[in-house]
Amino acid sequence: MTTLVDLVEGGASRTRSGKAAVRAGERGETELTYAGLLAGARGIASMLHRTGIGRGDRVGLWMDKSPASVQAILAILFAGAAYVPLDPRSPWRRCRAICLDCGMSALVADRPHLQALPDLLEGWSPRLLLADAGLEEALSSVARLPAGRPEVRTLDEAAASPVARDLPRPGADDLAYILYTSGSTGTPKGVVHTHRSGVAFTTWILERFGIREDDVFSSHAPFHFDLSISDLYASLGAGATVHLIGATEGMLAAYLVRQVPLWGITVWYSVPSILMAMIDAGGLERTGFGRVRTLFFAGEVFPTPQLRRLRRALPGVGLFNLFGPTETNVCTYYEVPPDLPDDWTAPISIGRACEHMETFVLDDEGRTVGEGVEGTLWARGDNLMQGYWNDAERTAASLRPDPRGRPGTAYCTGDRVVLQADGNYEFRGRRDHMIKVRGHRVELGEVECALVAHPEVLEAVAIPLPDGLAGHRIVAAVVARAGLRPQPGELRAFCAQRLPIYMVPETVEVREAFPRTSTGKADRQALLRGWTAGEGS
Amino acid sequence: MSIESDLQAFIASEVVADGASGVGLEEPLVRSGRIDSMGLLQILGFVQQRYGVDLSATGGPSDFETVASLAAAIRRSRGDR
Repeated sequence: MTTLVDLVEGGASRTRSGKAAVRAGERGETELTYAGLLAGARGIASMLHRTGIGRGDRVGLWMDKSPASVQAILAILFAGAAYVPLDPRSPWRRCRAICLDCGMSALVADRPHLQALPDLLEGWSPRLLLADAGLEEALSSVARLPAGRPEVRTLDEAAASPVARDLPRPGADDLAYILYTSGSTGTPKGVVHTHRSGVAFTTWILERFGIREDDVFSSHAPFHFDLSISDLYASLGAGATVHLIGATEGMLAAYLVRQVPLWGITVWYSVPSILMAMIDAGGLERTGFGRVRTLFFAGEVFPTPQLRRLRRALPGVGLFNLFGPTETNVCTYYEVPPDLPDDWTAPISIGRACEHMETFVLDDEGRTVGEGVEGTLWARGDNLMQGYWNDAERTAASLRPDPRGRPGTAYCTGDRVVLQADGNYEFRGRRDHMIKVRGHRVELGEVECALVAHPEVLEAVAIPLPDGLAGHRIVAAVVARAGLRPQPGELRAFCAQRLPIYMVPETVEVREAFPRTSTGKADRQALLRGWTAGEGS
Repeated sequence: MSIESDLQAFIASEVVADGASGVGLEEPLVRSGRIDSMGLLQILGFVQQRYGVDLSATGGPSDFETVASLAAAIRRSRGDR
């Protein structure tokens, strides 16, 4: 298997149920069989190909989760192009910044997003727009565009179009997908993965955890989140079924506790936040989470007391902490032991390197350090990204010649870790201003850039307040321009138009001035102390 | 005050960041990105406290789609008792 296309075609040859992707709703189920999924994806791919879109081109996906969006993703890969999933719940301004950054040749959008198309396409246009809606609706949405209209087709029409005989097959080193994450300079940064890195990671999941054709894999994370890679390709690569969970369903803990057994899910993967909410909702012990046999969590630290409750509620289920930034897919993992005794209060480990990856720790002077010494985690191996899109400088800063002098490239994760006596790493935090808010990766700089974009704001600092044992909440402090007094509510509303909701500061304090460090920078530590002291009183 | 306007007022003032622009009756709450899991919890708590209805125990995703569907779910739950 060298590409994601090979992987999915292999899965299609192994399926027994025939079911590829399912989305359950209270108004019935939508599902795609492997035969339908592949036939439609090849049709759409052929239309992309006839429009001249192929190898190396970027195609945006602005859709909610559905079997149709899975088909669109595969179609983009089948055409040899790379897909760029836009957060369907992010403000259009942020999505537009991503479109402009990666220069999209085509865009696939569903009905709810067609309305905002004139905003998204301000000042640029893809060559082709594929709409998951009626043609009239799609045409009327582009009729409002100021300039440079794309060719418009419906997804149904594309899926039914004849398969091109000369449809190229992508190669292992061709781009497969770009996942945009929060960027410290205010614009999201694109993490570029090739078929090679996607396949390396997926194959590890398939083999290490024995994913089989009778599995039903959950898809809880949205497609722009890296958890979706194994959700989609480990399931489809095994000939199993992927069960798509929409945004609202995915937040309803008690509903999920009731439904997961009914959906027949066998492999669950999500951030810890929703699992913690599901424990609190009750009922997990009773249902045992249905047929779930393997449970992965990633994206943030799972606080030990809550993990203990999950461990005891699901005694027979394999629980795994998968660790690694989007840049590595996953680089280390840890199997939670069969019991977490009451006196186990230490944070849960991030484990050791995936079998096909290599990890090591360097101190601040660049020396390799061993057991018991804190340092920065580095990773190397086929899971690594190709680089950041359109940002050679940032790529060179993080993907470097192996600092130990060995041939090859290694990636500096920026995570502070300590190697324990048992060979597992303990996570200690970050070297920079990247934090996690309920599993979402947030660069504080992106929040600050949004605030400073407000005409009345001179300077802004986003402050991460500890939330629970490991995650953060965001508040902010700003200094206004001379003589102006912006309202905190107005500043939050301004942010909400530019940032996804988890990045919008919960409160904004308007100050006369910031405390300063000796070098004149805003003193982040002093601001944080001020907040925590104020909240405690 | 109707259940709808009560919910709209609460969501606009307490839950969303840009409440000044109001919250539409049929506006998708989660799908639009205006509300996340924390906001959903706030709404559940409000409904419980104000109407004595525990939507988390019985509700499904379609109940949480819009203000209109929330109000309908509250009425249904009260009528069932």
